[in-house]
Amino acid sequence: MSGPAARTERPEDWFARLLAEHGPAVARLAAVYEWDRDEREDLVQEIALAIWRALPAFRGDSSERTFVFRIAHNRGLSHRWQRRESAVELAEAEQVPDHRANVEEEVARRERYERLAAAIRRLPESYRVAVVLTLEGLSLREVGEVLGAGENAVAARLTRARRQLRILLEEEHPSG
Amino acid sequence: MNPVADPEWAGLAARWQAEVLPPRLSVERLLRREGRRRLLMGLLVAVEALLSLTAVAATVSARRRLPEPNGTLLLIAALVYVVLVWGFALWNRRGTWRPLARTTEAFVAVSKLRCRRGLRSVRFVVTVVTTQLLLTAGWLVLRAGGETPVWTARETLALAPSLSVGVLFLLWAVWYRRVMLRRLAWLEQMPS
Repeated sequence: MSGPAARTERPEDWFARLLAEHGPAVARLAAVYEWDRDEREDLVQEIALAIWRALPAFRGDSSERTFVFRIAHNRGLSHRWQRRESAVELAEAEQVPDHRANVEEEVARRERYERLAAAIRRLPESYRVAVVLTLEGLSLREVGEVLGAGENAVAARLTRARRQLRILLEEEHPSG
Repeated sequence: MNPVADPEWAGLAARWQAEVLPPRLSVERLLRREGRRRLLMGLLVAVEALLSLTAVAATVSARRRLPEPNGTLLLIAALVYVVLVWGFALWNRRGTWRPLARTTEAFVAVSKLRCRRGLRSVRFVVTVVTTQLLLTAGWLVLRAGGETPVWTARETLALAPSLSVGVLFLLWAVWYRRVMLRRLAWLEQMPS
């Protein structure tokens, strides 16, 4: 993507476009750091504000997507330790799927997503984000750019993460 | 290489990305909130600066009523104290700004640095407050000249807030140290 020199849009418009393009992905990523829906909304807002504050630092040396994911992940990490400090363990309150939706298919889809998010939340910290970024369609190189790790290290991490994820999903729902 | 080319990852990615609800975000509201936050931060710095100036002004005013060399010594001590606290605060924060846009590895490194700086500020606060309390006690004992130290109601009015704030700072230091140590332990166990 273009760097700031080539940028003609106003920062406010740029920010709005980033949120429009990457908002759903940021919300999905927030789900692995926060199980509670209300808290998750707050976290998404915090991530959005962090993106706004970091915009002047964007030099175009990575894609906008990588830039957004870096901020979202780092903000998610700090949210995790703040949450830990407030003595609320993620395991204590696993996400309960929301059954208020009246379309059966929508409920099933949401449940499948929430189960996957819950399984990812149970992965070790270092695997979690690598998995989420991969599920968002980032290449090994891009995941490495977010994490500050080499492609081989990311690939090794993903192999181990997939093994664990398989077991966790099987535990949650033996039929898959 | 893209791992999603693998069928198992592809299946999981499809399941993951099926959640397409856009977050409820209003750019205008977010920017207003950021504006309020900036204003609050500015106000906090202004209040801190105002407190420092008030302390110096109060000392200058008190100097006129105190016999020399006590007045001059008190003024020098107050100025040293203010410069020391502001100097330490600025020095202790260097290199820890705006880490969110960096890689996770760099972000975790800066976060660890922030924790260590936090622990250093705890040591600084404990040292400064303890020194202040000891100096105050020493001054009272010296002034009493071997008798039981006594002070007037006016002096109590001047000493009580200073001592209370000192004790509050010590309590804060105990709590903050625990928070920083716990956060640092969590960060240290993160594999790079």
